[in-house]
Amino acid sequence: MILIVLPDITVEDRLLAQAKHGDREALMRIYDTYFPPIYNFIRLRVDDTFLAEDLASDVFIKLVETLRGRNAPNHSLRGWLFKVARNRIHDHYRQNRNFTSEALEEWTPSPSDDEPEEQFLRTILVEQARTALLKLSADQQEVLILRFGQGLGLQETADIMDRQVSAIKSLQFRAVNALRQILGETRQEFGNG
Amino acid sequence: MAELDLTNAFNDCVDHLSQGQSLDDCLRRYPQYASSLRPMLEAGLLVQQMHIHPSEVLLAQTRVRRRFEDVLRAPPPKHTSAARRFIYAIAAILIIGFISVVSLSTVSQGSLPGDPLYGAKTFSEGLQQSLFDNDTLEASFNQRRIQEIQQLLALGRSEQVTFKGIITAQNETNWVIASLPITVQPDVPNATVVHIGEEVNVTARTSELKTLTALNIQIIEANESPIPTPTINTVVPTVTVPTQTPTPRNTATLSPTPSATNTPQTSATKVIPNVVISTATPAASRVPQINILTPTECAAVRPDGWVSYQIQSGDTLSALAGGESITLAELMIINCITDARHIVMGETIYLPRMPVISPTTSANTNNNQDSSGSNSGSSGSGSSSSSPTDDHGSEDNSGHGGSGSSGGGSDDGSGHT
Repeated sequence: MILIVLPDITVEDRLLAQAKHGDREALMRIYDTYFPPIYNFIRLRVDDTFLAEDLASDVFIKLVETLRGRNAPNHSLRGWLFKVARNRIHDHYRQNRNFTSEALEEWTPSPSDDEPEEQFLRTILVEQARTALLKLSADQQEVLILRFGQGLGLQETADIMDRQVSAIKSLQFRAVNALRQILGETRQEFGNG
Repeated sequence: MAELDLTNAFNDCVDHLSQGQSLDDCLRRYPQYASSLRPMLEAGLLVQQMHIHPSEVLLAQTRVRRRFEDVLRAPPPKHTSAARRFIYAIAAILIIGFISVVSLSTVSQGSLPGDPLYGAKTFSEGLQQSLFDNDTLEASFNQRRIQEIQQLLALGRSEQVTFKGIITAQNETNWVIASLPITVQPDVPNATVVHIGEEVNVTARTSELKTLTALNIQIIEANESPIPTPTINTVVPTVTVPTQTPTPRNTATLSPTPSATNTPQTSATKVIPNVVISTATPAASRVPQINILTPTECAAVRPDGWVSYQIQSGDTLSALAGGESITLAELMIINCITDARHIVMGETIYLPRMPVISPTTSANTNNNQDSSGSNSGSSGSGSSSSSPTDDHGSEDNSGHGGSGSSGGGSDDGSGHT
C-alpha cells in the first residue's frame, strides 16, 4: 500500500508565507511536494497524459500568479491546489463535452518489482477498479480519489468540493457502493466470459 | 437510523485507513456492521492503490518544472492595485475635465452676450476669480465686458449686459459710464441718487439702434482701489470710441474734476452724430493717438454677412471703413484693432463687404472731425522730421517713424501698411 505523505499543516503554512514574500526556494519546495499528488488527482480523472500535464502546470502557474496578487491563500495550500485542479478539470470537461474514456488502456496500475501471483491479481483488480471509477459521476470519482486516494479529511474534502460535510459523508457512501456495483458487474461478466 | 450509523462507521473507517490503520482493525470497532463495511472498504482500498506510474509522474514533474521556473523568472506583471486604479481614474477625470474647461474657455473667449458659449466664458471667469481673487483680474474682466458691449453696439445686437464703471457724465438721460454712452431714464432704479464720479454696477440693454439703455444702476461702496476708467471726451448718442489717456494707472485722476476737455456739459453740447476720435490732452505736446480701450483679450468675431479681407499695400483702415457703411471705430472694435495706424499688410480683417474704392484715393479721405489733436499730424504728406511723433514714440508708430511720408499719413487714424 502506497501512501503519499503530505507535509504537516504548519510546515505548509510557513512555506506559503515564504512563497508569498517571493521566496523562490519555498515555491520550488511547494512544487516538488505537491506536484505528484496534484498530478495523480488530475491524471485519475483525465486519461491524456499531456492534458493532465497541462492542467497540472496551470495549477502551479496559477499559484504563482495568485501569490503575486491580492487574493493569495493564507492557509490550507493543499486544499487550494486541489480546488484549482478540480476547477481546471471541470473547465476542461465543460469545453469538451464529448469526453470518452477510450484511452483507458494507456493507464498502468502501479506495478510491484517482483510480482508474485497475488500481487499480479491485485494489479488486475486495481485496473478493473480504475475502469469502474471512470464510469461514476464526476462528484463520486472526486470524493473517492480525495478521500481514499489522497487520504484527505472529511472537512478538507468538503471545502475542495464546495459541499457540506454531511453531503460528503453520504456522497462517499453512495460512491463506494456504486463502485462496488460496477465492479461486481464486471466480475460477473468476467466470470461468465 | 441504522443506515446513518453505517454511514458514520464507514466514514470513521475511511479516516482510519488513510491514517494507516488496517481494514481489520477498523472492522473490529464496528462488529455489527463488519459484513457491510468490509466489501465497501475493500472497494475503497482499490481506489487508494490507484496510482499513476511513478516514472510518468516524474517525467511530467520535470517537464512542468521548466515551465514553472520560467514563470518564476519572469518579472511579475505590473500589478495595479484597486487603490491605484482608483487614483488613475480620478486623475484621468481631472485631466479630461481640465482640458475641457480650458478648451471651452478658450473657444468661448470670442463669444458675446447672447452667444451659446457666453455662459462658458463667464463661468471660466468666475472660476478664475474664485481661484485668484485679485482686483487686477476683476478689472480686466470688466474691461472685457465693456469691450463686448462695444462689439454688440457695433454689430447692432440687442442683448442684456452688465458692467461696472465710474459715471463720468450725466446730462439728463444721456450719461457716460465707464466710457460707454448710455441712456438712463429717470425711472431706472437709483438713477436719481448717483452722481458723477461714483462707481456703479450697471445692468443695461444694447439695441439694434446701437444704443445702450440702462435697466438698473447700483452704487458700489467706495473701494480703496476703484477701477480706473478711461477719460471720455465726447458724448454721442451712438458709439463713442474714447481715447485712453496715456497716463499711468496709478496716477489716474479719479476725481471728476471738470477739465477743459473733460467737462460733461461741454461734451454734451457737442453732439456728433458719428464716432469721434480725439485725444484728451493738448495736441501740442502729444502725439495724437487713436487708441480704443485696450482690451485684455479681444477676439475678432465675423458678423453675419461680413467678408474676410486681406489688407493690401496702401490700404488704410479709414479708407476701408470710409468706403463702407460703417465707421472707423466700429471697424476697429469688430476687428479688435487697437491702433488704427498699426495695421499690417496681409493681415485678414472683417469688412461688411469687399472694398471697391481704390486705396490710394481713399487714403486721403479724412472723415474724421478731430476736435483738437489731429492738427499736428494732419499735415498729410508728412515731413516726418518735424513731427513730434518720430522723436517720441516710434515703436508705436508702425516702425515707420523715420521713413519718409508714411508717418505723417498715419495721423488721421488710417495708417498705411
